[in-house]
Amino acid sequence: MFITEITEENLEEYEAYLPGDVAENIGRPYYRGVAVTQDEAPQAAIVWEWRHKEDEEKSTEGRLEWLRAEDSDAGSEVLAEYARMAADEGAERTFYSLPQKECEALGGLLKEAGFSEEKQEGQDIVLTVGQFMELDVMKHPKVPDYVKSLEELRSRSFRRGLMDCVYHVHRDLPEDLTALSLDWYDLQVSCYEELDDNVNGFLLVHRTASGKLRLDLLADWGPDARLSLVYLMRHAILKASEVYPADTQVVLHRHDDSSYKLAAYLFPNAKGEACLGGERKEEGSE
Amino acid sequence: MGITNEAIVTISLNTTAFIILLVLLLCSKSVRSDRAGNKLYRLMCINVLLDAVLSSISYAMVGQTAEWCRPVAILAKTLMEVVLLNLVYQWLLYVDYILYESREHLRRRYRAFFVPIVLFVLLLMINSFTGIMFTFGEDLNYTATVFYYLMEVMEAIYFLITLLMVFQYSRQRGKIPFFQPLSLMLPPVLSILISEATPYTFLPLGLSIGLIFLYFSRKKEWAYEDHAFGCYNLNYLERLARLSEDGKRNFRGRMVFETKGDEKVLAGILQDELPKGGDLIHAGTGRFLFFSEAVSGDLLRLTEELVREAAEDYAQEHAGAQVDLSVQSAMRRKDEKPADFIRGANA
Repeated sequence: MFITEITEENLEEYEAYLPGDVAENIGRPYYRGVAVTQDEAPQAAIVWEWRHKEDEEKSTEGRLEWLRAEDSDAGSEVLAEYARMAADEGAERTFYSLPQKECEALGGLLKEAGFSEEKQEGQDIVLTVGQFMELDVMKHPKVPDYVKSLEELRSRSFRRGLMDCVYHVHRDLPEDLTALSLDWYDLQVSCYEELDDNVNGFLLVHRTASGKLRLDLLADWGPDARLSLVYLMRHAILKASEVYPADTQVVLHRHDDSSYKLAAYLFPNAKGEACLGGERKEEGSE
Repeated sequence: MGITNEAIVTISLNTTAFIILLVLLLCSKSVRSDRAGNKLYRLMCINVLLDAVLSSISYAMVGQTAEWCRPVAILAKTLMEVVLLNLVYQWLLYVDYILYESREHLRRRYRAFFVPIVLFVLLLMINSFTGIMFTFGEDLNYTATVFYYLMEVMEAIYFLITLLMVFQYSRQRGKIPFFQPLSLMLPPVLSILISEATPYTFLPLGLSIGLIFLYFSRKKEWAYEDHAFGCYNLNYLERLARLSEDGKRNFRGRMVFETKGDEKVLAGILQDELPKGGDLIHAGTGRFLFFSEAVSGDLLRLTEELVREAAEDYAQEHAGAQVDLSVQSAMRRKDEKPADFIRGANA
């Protein structure tokens, strides 16, 4: 069996094996993937994200995004390779939260590799554009002219806006936010708030390979942040309803307090799918 | 009839306020800082000064019987209330501008707040003919109507809004340096309470004391400003180090920008490209320091990219004039003391 790191250069070889929504993250600064192949056919593969790599005050950790194995040997190989890379990175812990069916298909592989396991509610809740159109915020769909689609923003102003966002917003942001370019996002649905020719807020939506709209960032650091957030949402929902059918799926990824609160406020009854999740302390960490 | 004892005491208090305000106006004129709010601050001083004069005239008319005294009393009282409405609105603008430094935000937000002000000014103007806000008795003491009290409630609400703004800002972005809005607001509030309990008015004096406190907190800020470059001077570096030692700021990243060329050009580029509200320090000829509390090394890399691109644009627009820029960035190590990290930027 051969172990290969999955990169942008060789991604084509694994496109049939990796789901599109997972494969498209290969190439992002903190995403990594490793595959085990035999006779040129993938037998197992794992994709994960390093977190807190730049933060001196928090220890680096890995978050498994996806794992598949055709048999336990291949699965063990790929997890062993992950462990080796985690040790190289100085990661102290690894977390995972994977759909229950996918986990059960792994046949206890993660538990054997030393991970804890418990039932969890998935972080993602999946809704539709039509459901967003029915929200209370859409009852008065007024959007001021200083909230605009991302397609009206030049690349340099976008990067400056990202810089301001990271500087002013003191909560967990996507690790590679400043490394992603404008075209990672859906330029019509994503939007920004402008004040004094500067960006003061973003609502960034990424259209995944499978056609889902995923909310990657909703933040405003301007003077009327709360109101501006409402305007940003209205703008995005209106645009999404113009551009996409009402049954287009929208993913709200709940990764911190703010996103949990937002999801609970907008869709109090929505739940994530059943998952299994856990963690493992990495060898070599204190 | 002579001036009443209440009028004499009030005029004395107002004269004190007047002198204080004259001095403040003279002192604030000498500051060449282009930081926000100077004009608004001076306008507030002028309004309180006018209020002191009009209040004195108004009190002086109480108990007078000469025919000309009634129109003077009405005019003085009317103008006094207009001036106070003005002051309240200016305070709202002042606090917002100090916090956000955005004229566009003022334009966006404060049109709506201006409407009640205009409404009450109109009511005051027609009050002479209608008595809708207040009426004068034979002794030229005024009696307020419900609309007058509504106006006072509106003024109180506007003051409360400024407190909420400050609270909201500090929740969003942390403590505001050099700005203690309560320092302006507490003396007038106390003066109103004392005025209610006595036959005199302490309001102009209370407002002028509040403006003194505001002046001194601004003066403290001005001491850290490099007026030539519109950023902070090297004294501010030590202040940041002390704030870091006390745990009030937590800087994770620093950047040092240097040029052998025109440092004013570099200062302009940095003012445009660096995050608004950032701590930019002029540390010597051609040398600027910038600090960030964000955890991301990517932020520093992106900031450097943007500054370099702006420098290249400048060179292209100015017939090849090079900015000759060098940039050094560093993230604070885990074992590094915050204050040492700050001071080390200028080592």
